[in-house]
Amino acid sequence: MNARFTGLAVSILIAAAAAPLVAQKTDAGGGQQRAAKKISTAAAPLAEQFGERARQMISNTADESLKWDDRITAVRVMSRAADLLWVDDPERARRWLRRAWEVTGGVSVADAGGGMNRLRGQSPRSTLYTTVLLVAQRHDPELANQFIGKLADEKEKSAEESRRGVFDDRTARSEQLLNLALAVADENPTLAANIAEQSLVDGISFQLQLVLLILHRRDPKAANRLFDAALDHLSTAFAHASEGQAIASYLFTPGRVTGTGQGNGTSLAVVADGAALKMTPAQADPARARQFLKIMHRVLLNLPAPSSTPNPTIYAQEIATLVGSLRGGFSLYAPDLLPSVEHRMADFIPDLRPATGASSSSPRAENMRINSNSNDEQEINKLYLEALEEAADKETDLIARKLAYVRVALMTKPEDLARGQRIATKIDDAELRKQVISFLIYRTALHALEKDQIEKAVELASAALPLPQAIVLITAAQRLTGERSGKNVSKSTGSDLHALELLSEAERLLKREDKFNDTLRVRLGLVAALAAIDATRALAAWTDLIDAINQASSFDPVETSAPRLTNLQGFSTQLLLPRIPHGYGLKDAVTPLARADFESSVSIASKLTVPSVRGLCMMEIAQSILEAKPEAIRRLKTEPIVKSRN
Amino acid sequence: MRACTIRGIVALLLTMWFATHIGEAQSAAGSYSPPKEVTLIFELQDLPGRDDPRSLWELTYQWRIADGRAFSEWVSTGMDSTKESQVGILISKQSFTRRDLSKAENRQFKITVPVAGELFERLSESTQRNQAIWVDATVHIYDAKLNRQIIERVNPAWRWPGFKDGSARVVMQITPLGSWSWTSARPSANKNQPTETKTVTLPPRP
Repeated sequence: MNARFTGLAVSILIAAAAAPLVAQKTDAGGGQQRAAKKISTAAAPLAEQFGERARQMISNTADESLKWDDRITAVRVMSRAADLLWVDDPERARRWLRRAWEVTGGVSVADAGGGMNRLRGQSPRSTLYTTVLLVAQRHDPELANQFIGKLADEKEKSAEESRRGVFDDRTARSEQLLNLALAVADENPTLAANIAEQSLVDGISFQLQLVLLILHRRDPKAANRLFDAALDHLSTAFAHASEGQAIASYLFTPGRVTGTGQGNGTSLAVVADGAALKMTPAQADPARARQFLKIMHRVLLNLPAPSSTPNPTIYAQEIATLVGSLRGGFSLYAPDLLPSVEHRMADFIPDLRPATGASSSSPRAENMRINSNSNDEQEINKLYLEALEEAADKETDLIARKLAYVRVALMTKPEDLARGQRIATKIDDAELRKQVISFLIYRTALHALEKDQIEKAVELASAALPLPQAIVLITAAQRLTGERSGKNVSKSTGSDLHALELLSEAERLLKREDKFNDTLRVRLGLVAALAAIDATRALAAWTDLIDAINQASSFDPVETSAPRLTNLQGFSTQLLLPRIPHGYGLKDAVTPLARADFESSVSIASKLTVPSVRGLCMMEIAQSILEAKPEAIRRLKTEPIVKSRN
Repeated sequence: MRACTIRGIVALLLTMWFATHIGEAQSAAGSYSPPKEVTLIFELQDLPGRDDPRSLWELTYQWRIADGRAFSEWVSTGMDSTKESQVGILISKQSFTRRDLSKAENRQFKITVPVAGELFERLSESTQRNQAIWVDATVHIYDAKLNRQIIERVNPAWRWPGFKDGSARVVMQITPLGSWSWTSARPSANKNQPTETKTVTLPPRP
């Protein structure tokens, strides 16, 4: 098995690396411009023919989606259809978008089959509103404004959404505006700043700090303009402690914010995906930080006394938490203002629960820890692990000792695999030891992929890893190698027969693991990998996979990430595993397949039994054709190369 | 780094939760006679592989009591396991392994400790001197149906009113889809008190 996978890995890497060379060879000889023109001319009628088919499929699917039980997929399909066919028929696209907006209004948490985030109450409805709005914003900003206008009237959320998260945005409208701003911030910072500024009408929301962070990185001027607008709001219309905290988080602890729970007084800290900044925005612009602190100083001094508010204890806690978030900033950028703030806070102490003083110091301790020198932290972690291992060595209780070794092994850094493995060998339970070592190898391999160390990841995959994990690593490595070479899909060459053989064997073995729905995504990744080498084999695998999807208890047609395949779950290990975000979804599998054999792909996909899954699959196929380059269309087979098996 | 951050956040949450509630103990203070014994029950409510004879449940724990402030300080400095033995006193420390989990009695483990000596003193004085009672356990479950090993830290903490009757229950379960959760029994003294230690996760970007 190991030898097989080593061979497989090498073959795949060779095949993927060779792809651009093959392509270059084809282009060599005649002048490149002449060749391109020839291709373009030859491809034109075919492109038109397939394009028309694709548009028809999209249109039919969008119309059919209204009948689906799966309203979430229906909204996605209608929005995407509107996006793809807007140029051809704007009026029809607008109708789809309006319908999608209406359907979204009826979507509930139950439609998504699960609960909402306890901290941010972003409902499936909110996500779908964003999907629709993004399309409207792209093609018809006036329509987007109309939609947002409707949200302004949505004062009361439904009962299921009334469980407000601690870090919710101020209103449904501000939430959508900030979602939109986040979606466009990378490519159009000015537009993002403009949209986010509109959200200030409803106050400063949690997500504003995220928008500010992206803008700070992409376009500091746009970030400053939005920041100044937020300060204007604070100085004239401060309404809630969380408004100050969102800005304090952006300035002093980017990506981290503390808040006060409404129900039980519990304070929480959230780690958001803040950019790893070399210096905080406050360090980069101390004058703006001081300006913010001056405004907060004035706000704090003019706050009403807790006793005059409906819930003095909660109010006092919220302000105490806010001051805790600001204290470090005051010390550094406005030390002259801090004494009067502390003095003012003394008025709040009687309304605080007696031990809140301890809680306000905790965020500071946490911030100190976060901001501490990373080398010191590494050293502290190393010493801590050594102490834990020593304690485990001395433990006389066998179960306690075994589980202590598991814990210490899992606490090692992914980069320090040898250390983790050494500790894991002390686990006195063969099966558990094997699982822990396997997990450590998988984790290190995923980290290697994350750092673009493809060869290392493949080498680790060929070690003693369970099959699904090895397949995930190898298929991801194959795709990354293709991307690194600037070419994703190649034709089969004689040199990769061995790779094909082994991929097919892997595919056969994977079929035995159908009992877990996660394996379906591994198989989708495998189909995508096969498609890059041999479309015929990939289509055969795709045909078998359709049966498995039809039989599965659940299947998410939108998810594209690699499943977190570990048989070991412990100490937040699942959370700490790097994600492979793409390559394992329906889209990843059908895009190369459809471009290789459109007719067969459609024919096979038509066997999907769940209407929404089938519809979304048709949508992916059609979109892959519409977005294909003319050269890819030229290679399309006009006849199916795989006969359907009934 | 991420592990450290999450550990820090959990520590922060615990500190804040305990700190914000400890005062209520003072306000609820009054005369108090400790129970004759204290009880801790671990219960594995359900798991998909319950009827599979290969499934296993094992747990190692230490059960401690300390002054509220000492406990808060330990939590706020990151719940350093190597220093835990220096915080307060040990009530009980044991491990167990259970198989044949289809039987309800094999999915429960009860510990009873007589209240005497320093434990008696601490509980008697708990109206004047806040006491934190906590369990630091590591649980290992092998679910044969899912073919999954689950190893998690379970560390509930109670303050005095929540532990007034001297009994505590920690309930854990694995859902049919394989997700793991545990709760500590809701103390009757304060319905608003959180019953579970929760790890804060990242809010996704749209």
